[in-house]
Amino acid sequence: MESIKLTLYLILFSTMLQAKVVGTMYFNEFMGHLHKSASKTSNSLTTIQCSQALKILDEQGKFNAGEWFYVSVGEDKGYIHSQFLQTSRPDCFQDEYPRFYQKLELDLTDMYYFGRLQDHYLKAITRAQ
Amino acid sequence: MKWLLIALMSSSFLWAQDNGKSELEKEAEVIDYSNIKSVLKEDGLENEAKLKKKIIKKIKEEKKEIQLSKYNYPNKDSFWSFMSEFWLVKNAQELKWDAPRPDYGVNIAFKNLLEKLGYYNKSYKILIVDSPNITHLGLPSNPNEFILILSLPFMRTLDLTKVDISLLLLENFLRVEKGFFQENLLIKPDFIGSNFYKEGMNKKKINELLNEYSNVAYKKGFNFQQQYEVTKAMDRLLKSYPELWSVYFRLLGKIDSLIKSNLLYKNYTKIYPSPEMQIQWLKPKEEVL
Repeated sequence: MESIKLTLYLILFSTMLQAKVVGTMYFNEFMGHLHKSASKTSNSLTTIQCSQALKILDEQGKFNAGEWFYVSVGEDKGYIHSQFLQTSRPDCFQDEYPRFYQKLELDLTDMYYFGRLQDHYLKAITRAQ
Repeated sequence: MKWLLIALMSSSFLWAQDNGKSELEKEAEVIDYSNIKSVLKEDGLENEAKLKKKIIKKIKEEKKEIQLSKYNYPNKDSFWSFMSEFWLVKNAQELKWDAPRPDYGVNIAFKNLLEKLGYYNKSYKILIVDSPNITHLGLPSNPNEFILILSLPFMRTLDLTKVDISLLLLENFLRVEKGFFQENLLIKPDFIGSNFYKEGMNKKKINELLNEYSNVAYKKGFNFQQQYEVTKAMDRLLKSYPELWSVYFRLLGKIDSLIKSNLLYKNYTKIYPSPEMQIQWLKPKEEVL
């Protein structure tokens, strides 16, 4: 009886710990990375492609930590900068020129660096007149 | 009883025979094709069928077009940024840009400078590289977008201020705007926006273009005429801001001294000929009385 109680408590505790999905957003750059921590220079957990849907998670105050979102992509959970996310599906180079993109046969290293480029760029847009 | 059975059988036989005949006759009457045609014409069904055929044909053509468009090379509005980034990706090890480094406040300083000079609604990306092989460079990009590279060792060796860096970036911004990099590419990507459904995509052309990018960025650079045009454009832009003009003038002097004293930058003048000449072009002409 005691062991059953303990198991039930454990199940309840683990569900409480599980991240709550608070929404879905789309990655809006050609390629990018899911980061291990909320920093552009932190390790990459996986490479993400344009238009990929990401589940925004609310887990122990990790949701919207500053400019960063805590998200899940497949099995991985990590951080993405808010500038790379949008609520509607973006127009992507890959979708506009699917065969060209396919024929380029980008390897994993290329994809990795394409994603890293977005992390290292210092970007801005001057104000509209 | 016997007579009753015989009577029943004969009557049913007669009824069946009579019924069969009448069906055939009825059918012959109904399938009068000329009648159907005229009825259909009157109903407008023939036109409806023609319209449907047209619509189906149009849908088929559109589907074919969509299918074909999937085999397009990127058009000029999306080709250059992709190509420049592809080149950066392929040269990541050589340029060593994939390492954490601070912002140095360059981003805001450059944005302020552009806005001060009246460049509105311009999007730019600055990449700081940890290599002296490229000191500063603007890469071709999509309309209203600028990809600018800046060398960390170059900035450090010259001990550049945020204003110096912004002016250096502005020079490259103007080169991109004038399309000098594309102009200097020996291989012209004439396939931009075309379709490769029939002949297949020529990846060799892309690789050749990448090599040509390297050629311009590392070896060939820009010619005197282009440098003159950029320097004069800088002169015109900065004339209204004498303090910025002086900083730019001093900056060229600093670069000139560096390339004459530091072997690491001995190839600088091959890319940007030449700071010494730029200073001469900027100097106000002395009037002989």
